[in-house]
Amino acid sequence: MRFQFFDANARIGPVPDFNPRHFYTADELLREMDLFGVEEAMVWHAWTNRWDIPMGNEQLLRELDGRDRLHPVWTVMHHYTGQLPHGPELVARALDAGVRMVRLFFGIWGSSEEYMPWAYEDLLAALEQVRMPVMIEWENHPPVWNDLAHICATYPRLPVILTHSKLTQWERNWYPLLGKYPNFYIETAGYQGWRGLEGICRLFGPRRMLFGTRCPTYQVGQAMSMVARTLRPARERQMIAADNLRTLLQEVGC
Amino acid sequence: MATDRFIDMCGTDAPLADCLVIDGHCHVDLWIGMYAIDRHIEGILEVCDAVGIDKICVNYAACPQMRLGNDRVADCVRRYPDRVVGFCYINYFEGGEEVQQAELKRCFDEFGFKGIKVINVNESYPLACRYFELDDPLQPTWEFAQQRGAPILCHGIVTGEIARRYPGANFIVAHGSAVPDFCISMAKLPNVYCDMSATTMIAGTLELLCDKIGPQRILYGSDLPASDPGQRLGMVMAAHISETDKELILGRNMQRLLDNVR
Repeated sequence: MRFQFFDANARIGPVPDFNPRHFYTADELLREMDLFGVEEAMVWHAWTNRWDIPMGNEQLLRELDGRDRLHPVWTVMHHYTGQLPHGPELVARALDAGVRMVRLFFGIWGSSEEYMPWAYEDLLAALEQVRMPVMIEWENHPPVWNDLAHICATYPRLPVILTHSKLTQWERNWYPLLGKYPNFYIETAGYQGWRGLEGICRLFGPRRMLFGTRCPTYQVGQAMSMVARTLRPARERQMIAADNLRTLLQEVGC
Repeated sequence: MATDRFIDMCGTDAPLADCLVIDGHCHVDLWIGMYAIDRHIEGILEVCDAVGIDKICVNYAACPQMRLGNDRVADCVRRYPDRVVGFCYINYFEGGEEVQQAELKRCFDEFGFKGIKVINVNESYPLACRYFELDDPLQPTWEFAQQRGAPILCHGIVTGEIARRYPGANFIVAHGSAVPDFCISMAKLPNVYCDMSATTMIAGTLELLCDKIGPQRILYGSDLPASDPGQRLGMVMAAHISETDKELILGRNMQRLLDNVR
């Protein structure tokens, strides 16, 4: 059986990492998606965590313009530096721009950015108001589980997606998060556990995982193969491959 | 859609039925305290059947007692002789020449094992050299591999000097795709191979390795049940290399090494 795929985690824009098969542009991303058979992708711009968030977000909209299969994901942060508007205004601008998902980065190289509940409450409350999913990434150290738990508990209508987690069976701290918080999701790009997706489906159902590739850093096909070859009914694999993400996006603004 | 049949299969659940697939880096049962479902041999072979893995090379490294672990692998070989290839784990903490030789002979001659696994446990190998006052605590194991033409899956430990000293043994750099620079630096040694079971592998790494060390020196491995073969197979299937090269990496290279064992 061939599955339909909707990538929750694709990137365009240059990064300073060595990658023998890197590509930067939206058209190159579309070519890669066509090669492997990925229908749509949520896309963020590398400038937003390597250079400047507002410039990266604006550049993203320019580069995706007219490419209906690629959907913009803005990077956001609190408004206290003046780089971005206050939470409610930022969310309104995002919706106007066709943005239906945002990213938060913590622990980026050269910064000590961390989750401070009192600094992010306006932004997260505004996102929760419109149910706009937030992907959270700790770029250079393991996820801070208590922070995730705090966000999930404080904003229960906000879909919270852990991304680029590099989770293995050695890491068990996220099972309580799945068990306690129905608004907690995992994007699959960094996950590689033995029968891992199958295990999560058994314990928590197939609704809590979203297919993602983190291309061009990782191969598109390896992420697809893991979902397609999970020993669960085809309907559940299709949910992970695309349907769960579509459902979350359809609920934005409702 | 792609013209490469492997790329075309990435988004499907079709097993790799039309090519030989040997996973050269596997474990079984318990594994340093990790949590995983169905990691017994039947659970492992169930997945192998579904994705099209023909044979798995199993070792029990990191078991506190090497004989106990090797006995568990021997049981798997006995029950599934056409699917499981035993790799004898040698723990250099447990003894010198006599102990190592006895365990290797037991595993190869009594159980029919075809390979060896050594691991630099907690980076302790240099310390062990000092403790035992030896230049190389695994010298008896290297000599055995040389006599038998056996492949040795080396998690750390192997150096260019060792590989040169034992040209009849075949050294596999475990998780080699995580250290492509090291594998490339060993490329001139014809008895050194790169195992693909990196925890993460950025896109293009396999293409780079094929270009620099050649596809005939790369071996598919997943490190199951520490990782999922669906994802690991995808790393090979999705690579921008020829289908012939993928077939070499997925199974034919390892079969050649196993056929060489005396």
